[in-house]
Amino acid sequence: MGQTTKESETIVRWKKTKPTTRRNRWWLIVMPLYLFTIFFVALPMVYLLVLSFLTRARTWGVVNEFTLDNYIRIAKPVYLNTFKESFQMAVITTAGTLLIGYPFGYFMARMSARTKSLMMLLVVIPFWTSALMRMYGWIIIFRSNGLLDKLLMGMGLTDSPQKLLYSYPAVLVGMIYSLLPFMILSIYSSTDKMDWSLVEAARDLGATRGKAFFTITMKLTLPGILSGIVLVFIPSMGLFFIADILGGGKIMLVGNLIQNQLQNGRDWPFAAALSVVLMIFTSVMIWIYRRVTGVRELEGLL
Amino acid sequence: MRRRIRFSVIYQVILLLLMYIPICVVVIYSFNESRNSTIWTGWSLDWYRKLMKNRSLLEALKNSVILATISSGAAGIIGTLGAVGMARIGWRSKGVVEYISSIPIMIPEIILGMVFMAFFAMLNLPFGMVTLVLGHTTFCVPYVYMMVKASLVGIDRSLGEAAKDLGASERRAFFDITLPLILPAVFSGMLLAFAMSLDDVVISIFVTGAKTNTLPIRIYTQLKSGVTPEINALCTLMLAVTFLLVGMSRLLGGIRKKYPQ
Amino acid sequence: MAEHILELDGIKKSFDKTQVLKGIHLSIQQGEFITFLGASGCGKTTTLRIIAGLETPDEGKVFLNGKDVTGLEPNRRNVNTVFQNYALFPHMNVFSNIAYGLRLKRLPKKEIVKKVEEILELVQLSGYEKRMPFELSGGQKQRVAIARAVVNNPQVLLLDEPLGALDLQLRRQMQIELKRIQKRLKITFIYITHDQEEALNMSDRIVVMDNGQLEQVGTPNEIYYHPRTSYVARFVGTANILSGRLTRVEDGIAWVEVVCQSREPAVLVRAKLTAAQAEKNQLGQIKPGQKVSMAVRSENILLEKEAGPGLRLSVIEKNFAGGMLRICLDGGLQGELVSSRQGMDSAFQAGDRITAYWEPEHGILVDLE
Repeated sequence: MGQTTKESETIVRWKKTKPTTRRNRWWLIVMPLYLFTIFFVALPMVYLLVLSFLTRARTWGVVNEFTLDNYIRIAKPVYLNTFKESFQMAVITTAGTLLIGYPFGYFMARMSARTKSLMMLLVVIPFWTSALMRMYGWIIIFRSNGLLDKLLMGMGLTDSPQKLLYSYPAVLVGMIYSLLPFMILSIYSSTDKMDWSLVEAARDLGATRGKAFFTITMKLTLPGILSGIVLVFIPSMGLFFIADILGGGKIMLVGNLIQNQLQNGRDWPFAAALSVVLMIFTSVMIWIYRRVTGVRELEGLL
Repeated sequence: MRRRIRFSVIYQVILLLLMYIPICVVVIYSFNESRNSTIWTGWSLDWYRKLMKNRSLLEALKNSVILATISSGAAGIIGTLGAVGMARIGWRSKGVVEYISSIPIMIPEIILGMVFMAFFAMLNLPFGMVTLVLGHTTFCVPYVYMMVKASLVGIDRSLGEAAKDLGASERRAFFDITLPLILPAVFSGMLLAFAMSLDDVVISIFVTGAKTNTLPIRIYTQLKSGVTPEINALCTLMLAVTFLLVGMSRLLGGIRKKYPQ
Repeated sequence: MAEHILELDGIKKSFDKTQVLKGIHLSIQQGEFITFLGASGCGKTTTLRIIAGLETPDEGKVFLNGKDVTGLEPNRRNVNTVFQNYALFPHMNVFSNIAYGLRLKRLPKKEIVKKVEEILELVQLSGYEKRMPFELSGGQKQRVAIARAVVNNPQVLLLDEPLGALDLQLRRQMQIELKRIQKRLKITFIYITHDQEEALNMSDRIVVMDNGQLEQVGTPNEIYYHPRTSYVARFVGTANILSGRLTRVEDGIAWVEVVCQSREPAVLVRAKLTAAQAEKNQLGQIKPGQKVSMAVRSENILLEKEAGPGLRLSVIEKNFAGGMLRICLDGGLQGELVSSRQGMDSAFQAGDRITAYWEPEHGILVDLE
């Protein structure tokens, strides 16, 4: 009793004393962040928006003429199709990471403190390893006459080298593989915070193990699931280099399209318009995430 | 109960194996004698020797390290000062600026790359190290900022008050109390930023100049054209560095846990 | 003026439109052990923070040793605080924690070492210099926190519920120790607690606060035996409050008409006037017929089975509390009355009809302002 009143008083006091009114010069030290953010994040973003309404010059560069053409072009079937395929890829990737990552994160949270930190280390290392190196590993595995081919032939499942690399499944594997740690860490961090006595209470009240899982555990780890979805879905729309390396240019995602327009097509305004659309898309996702969970930061991001 | 635990162990082991196989494959083939990574002909350290002589690869490595050091260093300063200052000011713009500053790690990297490419072109900046540093610093700042912010939240407000109560000025209290307590977070934020910068391909591709190569760019172009096992050797060395960095960040995490609030 | 080490003059403070302090006037003497007692949220912590300089009052002034220090930063006041959660610097060992204030004063190193050693001896932690805060127990942390504040030889030491986090036994022990330290150092202690027992045990004077105002300032005796308001009576040593109508005052005894059950006739009970109240009575400020409240401590309520002069009530329940038997009585319109004067072998059972009465000097008229 005494404890709780003391605590509540402390909380009240903290809330109340938040604004420090006495002369402070702290504003000086936020200036680098403010200036840097304004000049190198906000301004470029604004420029992107402006650029997306400009006209492409015939030879090189941009003409300052307002146009909506860039956005109208996106509606062309070719480009719409790219968006559709990207979206599809992102959805499958997200679903895949969720299905594979949820049990992993969940089991991880149920381990003893020692194993937990070891597991954490094991999950984090690939995450810190160069993404290209990991893609390279997959190339070695997937390439014709590569490791997987030899394994399959050795087991007698196939009798000749398959065209495994430069295919949709290869890209998908690369995507899921690259983004899986995000999902695992999100799920883990919210499962780890969960109050297990609630599950026990549900079991005590007569819920089967499955029912308790779906009604309690899933609900309580929802913030982690959602944050994992956001963390996987957003990058998967733009990870052009995986599609490039493992798909060999056959698979075209929005990211690849933007890159192509920038570097080969030299159509910057169109690339800008594509980026704006992609950005709106991701902003909406983050906005929904915040509305649903009421959390500002994405769980397990760090 | 027992059966479930056993299933979970099997599941985790399999998944971890799958996670590590591609990495191991690269490492193992770096010791392969043959140029062709489809056949194994025997152990050799040839590719490491060749790597040491490969000027352009080493140059790219040097560039990458310089870039990561400057970017994470700059982010360390901007992010730490920002997080400390933001905790003490009550401006209305605070939330907005905080949000905008975190955009670089929220949106797909390709957008960021595109944005910088267009923006720097408009400013007529010479593409090269300068643009690389600017680009990388923007996505390094949020890592440091978020880490430091989280550790500041964990610091009891009354510690600063106690210092002032004992006769310290605001500034003195900051340097004596707050700074030592957030330092591990600053370093782990910078470490994370360093690793991210070292690993970045997407943004680098867009903002680099014709003459400046970073390691990931080199690897990327080689992966698209044709790889030599020198890359394997290089990746293996990088992996060793990664282990070192992760080890360091663990150590810092350990230090942070030493002062439970 | 000079003997007042600290003066609060009309302190007002609001946070986000809620007024937390509504004009606090208080003078504190050199060497006093003064306790602010009140429920959480009554403003006692804010008062303390204003004295420490961690908060600036909206109105009013703080005088330290006769000097106005209202706008002065905390580091420029010779006042030190023992924080509720100790606030030991987690990255410094015990020695550095205690030496922090001395180092800021740029004392020579030898002197610092000597002072820290002395103070560690005083709080019985000699030999703990090299320990880190996380290696200390709650009680030890508490001692370090006290040592860290006291070593600076402040004019006033502020203690914000310093024993709140300790268990009961340790708390009792630390109470004695704190009192000992205070006597040794002759420093003025301003102590905050919501624990009335602590306040009664340790203080020279108690300040009872409620809702941002001072309810009563007085010695533990005065507060306990002559509560001025029903709030004080209830908060310090749980008293029963009865309301009724004053019928007459005779020989310093007030006769109060109390109605227990709506259908039963009113009963006359007695309360003794305090000197101040008697004076008021002389001036005619207390009039027969006016509504009054009176307080009777539960340990002063006597019970008898037979009908007689007193309140006829029925027993609701018996329960043990602190080695005493408490009997709750159904007081009808008056709510429940509690009597704790009974021995463990009390024969009363739930449902019994009994008479409750008390000696006139145990009845106290309250809320007469």
